[in-house]
Amino acid sequence: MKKMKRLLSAVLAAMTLTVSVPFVKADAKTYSGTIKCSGSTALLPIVKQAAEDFMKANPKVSIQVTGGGSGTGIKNVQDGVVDIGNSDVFAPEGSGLVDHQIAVIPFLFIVNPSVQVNNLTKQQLADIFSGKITNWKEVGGNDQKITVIMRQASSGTRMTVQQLVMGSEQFTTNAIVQDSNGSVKATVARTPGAIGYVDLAYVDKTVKALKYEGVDCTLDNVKNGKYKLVSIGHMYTKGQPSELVKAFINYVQSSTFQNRVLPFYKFAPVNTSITKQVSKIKLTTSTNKATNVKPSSALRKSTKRK
Amino acid sequence: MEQSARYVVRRKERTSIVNSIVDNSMKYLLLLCALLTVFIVASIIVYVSKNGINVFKEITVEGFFTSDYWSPDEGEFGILAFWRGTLILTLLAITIGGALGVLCAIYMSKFAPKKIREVMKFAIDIFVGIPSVVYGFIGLTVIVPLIREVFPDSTGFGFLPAAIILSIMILPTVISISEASISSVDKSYEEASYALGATKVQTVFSVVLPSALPGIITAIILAMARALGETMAVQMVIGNTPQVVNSLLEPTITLTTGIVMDMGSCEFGSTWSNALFMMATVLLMVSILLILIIRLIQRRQVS
Repeated sequence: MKKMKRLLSAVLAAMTLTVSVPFVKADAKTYSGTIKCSGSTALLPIVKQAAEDFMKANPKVSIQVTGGGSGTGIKNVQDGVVDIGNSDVFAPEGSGLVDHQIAVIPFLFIVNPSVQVNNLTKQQLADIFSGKITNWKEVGGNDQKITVIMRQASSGTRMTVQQLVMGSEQFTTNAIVQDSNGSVKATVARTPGAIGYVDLAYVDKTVKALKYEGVDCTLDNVKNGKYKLVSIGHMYTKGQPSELVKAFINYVQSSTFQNRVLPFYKFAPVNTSITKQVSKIKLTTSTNKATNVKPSSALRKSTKRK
Repeated sequence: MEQSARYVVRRKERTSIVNSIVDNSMKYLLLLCALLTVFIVASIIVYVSKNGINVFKEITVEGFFTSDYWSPDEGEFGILAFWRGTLILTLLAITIGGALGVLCAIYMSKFAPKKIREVMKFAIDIFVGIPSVVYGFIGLTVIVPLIREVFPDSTGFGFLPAAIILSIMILPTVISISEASISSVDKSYEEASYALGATKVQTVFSVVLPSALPGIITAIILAMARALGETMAVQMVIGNTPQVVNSLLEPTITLTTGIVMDMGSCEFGSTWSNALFMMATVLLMVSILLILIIRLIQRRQVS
């Protein structure tokens, strides 16, 4: 349903745009050729929208957009399989990819409507998601067991939560793991005492949105910098993009697209002050070995070669 | 006259040449199709295991299989929780679904009136057609909340809902193969048993069932292969947490759900992705083993 609504608003957005905006042909040049993009499913709707707009303005251009996840996008663009790799996490250091930031994706913590709490601080969230706090009464709610719902380890949002909220704390293992925003929301909606995190676009009436450090997650609060929980949407290219690819990225980064299309998808425009604070979130690969050994892991058997 | 006779002979020659060309090319085309199938299967096995083996460049073989410590961020890849989850879940599903299915098959082939048997056969055909995502959805919306109501301390996710869903999913496999095997037991065995004064229940359980045993075992093993590979339905209700649990009501994970959770978004070629390929290799090897066992049973039956 939510998706249908988003689709509808997307179509409406596209229609209003085509009517009201004298299109992308600002430099009066018509492009031709093919652009292939793959990657992040979170960014898929806006990239598709941008592709449609761009193809309408440049009929000789064909843009193919597919999903696959951030890791796939980065891998594909490195291999030269696609021209643009979409990702909602930063590419690993030394990948040699050129970063074009295209959107700020706000996300927030949601709870089951049965939960009485309205606001949680960073510390409280870290304690809940690391398993130190297991009952809602410890954070001012009613006497109810907390059920933690998380995304899978390769999720970009999960990496961002690790960085912005958890710090050096590790996620608890006693949690239910779901592999998409949609299923996290559905599970939180159905499980009494549940808490999870989703992108802003997925929040609806079946779940209760929490304030973070007293601030509501709204696009305005993201824009004015009060709300801190965001991840960054990127388009990666291998080396400097070709003229055509550059023109497409320019359109996505144009103020028309940033200020008029992104809000329909509950994304905020790119703004350097926000992007700086999250700039250290990297796609985790086994190459970044952790230096700090947690007490719990000391008891466990390592899988690594001695 | 002479000329036309020569013509006929030549035409006959020509058709036989054309025929042999068609015959031969058809033969090679069919051979090509057969070879292609074998080639596809072989290349899947090679591709998956080749990628999988790369994981042992960074991870010890022993650590990979015996450690319960799965934390890709830290470069730790122990799959104990995964294969243990698959093993326990498969055994649970086979115990529940296997017992139910075999009893159902006995009723259908030996006790049910013809009309009821027809209705049941039709119902089982429908069973086979239900997509696994539908089972998963029913699990998530009906069974998980139900379990939470019965056991208020639990989250409702874990082995129990997954085993219930899986045992329902394997029922058609168990029932249809066991039923066929029970029905095909020679009638003279039954008659001999009745002649010795045995009751119907005695006859079915001590004469018919033992004779149908190879077929029933085949049914159970095929159902095991199905349970082992089921992903979607299990993923929706098991909780997908890489932890070793000793309770049916705590979230845990299996090999298939572990693969599907991260395969799409972890970087191809990384140790992480190779570890997932190795998990797939383990599944593949177990499936091949199960198929070999079925072959063995069938061969013994023939001889």
